[in-house]
Amino acid sequence: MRWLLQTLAVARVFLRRYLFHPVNLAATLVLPVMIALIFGSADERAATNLPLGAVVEGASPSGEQFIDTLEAEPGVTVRMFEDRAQLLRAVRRTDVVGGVVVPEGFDAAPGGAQVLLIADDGDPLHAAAGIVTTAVAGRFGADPATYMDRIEIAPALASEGGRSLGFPRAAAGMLVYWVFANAMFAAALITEDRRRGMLSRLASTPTPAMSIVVGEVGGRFFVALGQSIVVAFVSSLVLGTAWGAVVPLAAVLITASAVAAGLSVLLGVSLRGPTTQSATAALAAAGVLGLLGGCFWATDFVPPVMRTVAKLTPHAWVIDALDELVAQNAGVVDIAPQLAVLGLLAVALVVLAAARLRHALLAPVAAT
Amino acid sequence: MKVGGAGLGGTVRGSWILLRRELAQLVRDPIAILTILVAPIVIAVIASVSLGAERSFDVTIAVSGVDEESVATAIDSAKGQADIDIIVIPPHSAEEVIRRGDADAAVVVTESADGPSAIVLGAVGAEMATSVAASVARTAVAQPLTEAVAVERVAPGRAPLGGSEIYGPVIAVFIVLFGVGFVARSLHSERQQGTLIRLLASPISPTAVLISKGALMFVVGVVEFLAIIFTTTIWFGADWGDPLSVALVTVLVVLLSIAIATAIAGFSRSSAQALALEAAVALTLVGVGGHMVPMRNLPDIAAIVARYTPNGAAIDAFAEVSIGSSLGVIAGRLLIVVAFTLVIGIAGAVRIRKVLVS
Repeated sequence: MRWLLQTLAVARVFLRRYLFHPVNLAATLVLPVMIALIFGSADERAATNLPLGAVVEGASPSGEQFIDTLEAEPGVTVRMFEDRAQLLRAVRRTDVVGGVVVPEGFDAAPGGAQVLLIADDGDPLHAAAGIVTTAVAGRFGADPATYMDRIEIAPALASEGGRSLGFPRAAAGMLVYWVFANAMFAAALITEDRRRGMLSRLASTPTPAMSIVVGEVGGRFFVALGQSIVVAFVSSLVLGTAWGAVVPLAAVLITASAVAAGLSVLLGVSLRGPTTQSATAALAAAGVLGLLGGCFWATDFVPPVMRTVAKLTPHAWVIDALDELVAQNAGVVDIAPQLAVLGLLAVALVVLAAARLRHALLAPVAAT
Repeated sequence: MKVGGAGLGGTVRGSWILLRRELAQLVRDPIAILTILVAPIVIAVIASVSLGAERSFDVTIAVSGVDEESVATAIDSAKGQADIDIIVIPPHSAEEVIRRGDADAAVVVTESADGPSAIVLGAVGAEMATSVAASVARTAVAQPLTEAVAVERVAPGRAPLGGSEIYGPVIAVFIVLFGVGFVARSLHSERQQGTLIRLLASPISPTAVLISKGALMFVVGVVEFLAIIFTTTIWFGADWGDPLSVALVTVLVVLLSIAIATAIAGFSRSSAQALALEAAVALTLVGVGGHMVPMRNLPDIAAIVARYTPNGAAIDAFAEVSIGSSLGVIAGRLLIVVAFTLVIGIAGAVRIRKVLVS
């Protein structure tokens, strides 16, 4: 009982130090959802929106009609430009993913009219723009009543191997990034404690080393778990993310939080130097791991080598599991491989972190 | 001997001595090297490799129902260079095919008294393929097809900006903005440790101290930019454009970061406050400035706001320089950066002088 109270006291000290700081609180609860909102809206548009540029050279009612027909296609938005030079600039800058030029004399060439499509065939979005433009050109002049309301697009279906996009993907990425980034930032508190001699002083009290170790790991675990639950809950309210069944989601969040807690303590014991520098290095490492692990973009679109490298980070395994929950409504059995990897990683990190922290606590005492 | 005595010469000499001391400390600090030099390069490499990969529009579209051949033909004639596989599936199996992941989208054509119509199904995450399939399905059922328009494809000359050309400048501006606080924090640390008061008690003037911090930040910012420019150019073939224009935009961005750092140092009272302000300013600018997200994917209002932030204007200027636009084209963007730098820098300089003197 006494051991438990001592452990809880250590965890409570960490929670007060960490959560009572406004920057930490913002980074824990506000920023993940805010950034997911920005990334999500951009990703949503990237996944569904085909922004095309267009120029109609000279007065051309048929040319205007062609552009109107193009704009009525699913997902297409058309931005008009003054001349070809401006359109070309926008294509090169990637402001639009293809440019349609309706040349002068378009009206005067019935049956033989032609439009120009400025597009880079090597780019997938340009290719999609080319298909849509060709499809519109192929039916230009047909009676809109025969095709406009005759095509119904059904709601998207969850599929095996399917991946989420838009808000759900951004919410998952930001949840994982901030859980690990905050945990790694919190590593600096242990570095600070050691520099100030707090660990040595703590070790000289009757508090068992194991209480300190479990308290430090446990405090971080509860911050990570609490943060991930809040972000998952708020993102489902604000961004409409459906996280799937509760049990598999809980399993993912618990294992991910355990990995983050272990990593935080291990990093804290391993880092040297002033607190600010340790925090900066931890944040830089968190940024690199987040980029590699697919927190900011889907690893489905990166080269195979980067997909392999991503698997070396815990982030990729967590996002992979969350992706399956969101896009495929997966169960615990479906995400068992990811849970197994995360579980093993969590055990390894926590054991290693505990051993190193215990060593750091006892070493000065042994020396004296 | 009065090292940094009164007058311009003394101030310059004092600043130089302090700058040399700071630089010597910096190059001996492995964590500083890691964050100033290694992290930007690593981040630029990861972003360039991940986002600069060549991709194709590689999708599978299933067709079924009446007149499935006309849909298949319409897809085939429209696909151009795109890598589209067409599979013909039995009726009523479209949903199962999508759920199994065998196709990204499916077009199911049905016949009614009014003529053919179609339902288009698609998988979560394959929304673009679904839209494209719907467009082609419209063409397949449209009547009468008499006045078809030919589409001539034209290459845009210079290829559209690649991953490293888009994200190189974004990362460089991002890194410099996030680094602004270290000068403010170092000033506060020196104040807390008492080294600043001893420095100010010496013949070195407060102006010399400020100039040395600014110069240090300038050196660090330029080094960070150069690291990213060289990495993306040499490894990924990024074309940043005219070197003089790139240098001009770079210098203006670094001066902007110095102005922000000065303001943070002036308006914060401790290292912790400086850290909080630094995070708030950097994240706000990054959030509204359109970092990490192509401008075309931002909602219209967000894209307009982004272009009027100093960092958004700078990234936009880098994009223009990269595609070969002249200085005249980017003058407006540079004015935005300069205006922010002057307003924030002057406010910060006035404030920090008071802090130093007090």
